[in-house]
Amino acid sequence: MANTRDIRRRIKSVKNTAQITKAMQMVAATKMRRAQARAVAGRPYAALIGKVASRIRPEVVDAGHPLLETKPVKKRLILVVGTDRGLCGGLNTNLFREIHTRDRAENLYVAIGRKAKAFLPRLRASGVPTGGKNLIADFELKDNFTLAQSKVVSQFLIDKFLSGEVDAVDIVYTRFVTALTQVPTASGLVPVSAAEVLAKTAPEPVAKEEEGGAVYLSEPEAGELLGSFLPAVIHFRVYQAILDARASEHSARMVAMKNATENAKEIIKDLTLEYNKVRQASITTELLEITTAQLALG
Amino acid sequence: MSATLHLDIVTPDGRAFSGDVASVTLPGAEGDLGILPQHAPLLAALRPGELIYVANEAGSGLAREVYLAVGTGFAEVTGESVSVLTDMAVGPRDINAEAVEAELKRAEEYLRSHTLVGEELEATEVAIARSIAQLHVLRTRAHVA
Repeated sequence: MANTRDIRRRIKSVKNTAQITKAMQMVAATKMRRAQARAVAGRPYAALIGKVASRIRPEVVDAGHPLLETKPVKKRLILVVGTDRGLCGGLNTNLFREIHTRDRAENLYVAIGRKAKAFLPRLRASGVPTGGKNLIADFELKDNFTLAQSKVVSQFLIDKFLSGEVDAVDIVYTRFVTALTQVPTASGLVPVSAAEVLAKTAPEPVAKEEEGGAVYLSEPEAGELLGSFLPAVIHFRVYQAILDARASEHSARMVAMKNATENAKEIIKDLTLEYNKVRQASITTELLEITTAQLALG
Repeated sequence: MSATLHLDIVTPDGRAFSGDVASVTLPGAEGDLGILPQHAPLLAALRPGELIYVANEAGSGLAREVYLAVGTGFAEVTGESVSVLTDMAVGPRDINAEAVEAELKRAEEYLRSHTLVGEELEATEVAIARSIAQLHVLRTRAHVA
């Protein structure tokens, strides 16, 4: 039987762990509320900009734009929005599983977050781990990042597409559904016409312009307008995806830490019981010894 | 054929307005655009300025004009709906004159004291235009609020 001192020591260490996980849970909860509010506030904008973007096809705007051109996809660039820190349950694992299913040897990657950066070199679609050759850039963003900061990332993606280095750009991130549910999601980003609506809205009633083949009027002239509208769509979708990923991260961490705290409490309970048993057993033995000794003397 | 337009105004910070209106006046990048129901499909860039919509008071038949200061963005018009995507949408009641004026002064000062190029210049000019749009709405429309 273990001795009482060992058990006391273990109880103490588990208590310390519980304290830490409890603190992390509180921090994550606060951050989650903030991130969640931001992510949810951007949803209507994302839905609407996605809806408008999905209606814009070369046929209806009477002007082409490089960002609308669908090409046969040989090289695909994937933006992976991971987290900077671990201890957030299965969040990154689930996200990376999603990437595994889409990994091709020709794919290139851009990472946001240290975990994604560490994971991507281990992809092995071509048989052996790529060792980082498939990772062309990585970015780190703080939690309170602004649209201007995420624009750096999205501009990089746009440039890669426009220069012809890649034929399509996708984004893989964890969509925030509720504090308990986060879904790894992949969606097309560039070309814009191939992109599906970010937040799924109810199916659109067939718009008139599709029936009649009418063309959008535009102001300023179509080419110029698309030149500013399409990048704005991409910038915003990347921004919203990162917001979603952040909200997911903090919720996942909060839940993971809550579980950890509960597990620690469970262990403390078991250990305390064990400790009391040992203590009592030793008292009983001592008493027995004393009585036997007395009997022997008497 | 419906005689109303469904107007949606959204910003990255949330939905500013959603409802049926009789008409909308948008600050288009190349001039103000008056939109009535059955307008031809249109896609327009917006400049910071004043957006006016005429709200239908249900049943009463009264028309009430509502004024909002909006930032840069885009508008999509179909026969039945107008979707406005902008980075700002505030009514006269929500504009804080002092804060806006301070912001305007700061941006102007910045423009004068620094030689700005590219994105920074653009951002500062947009900030100034936004402030002016807000002040304009505040000063000319405060009485309607």
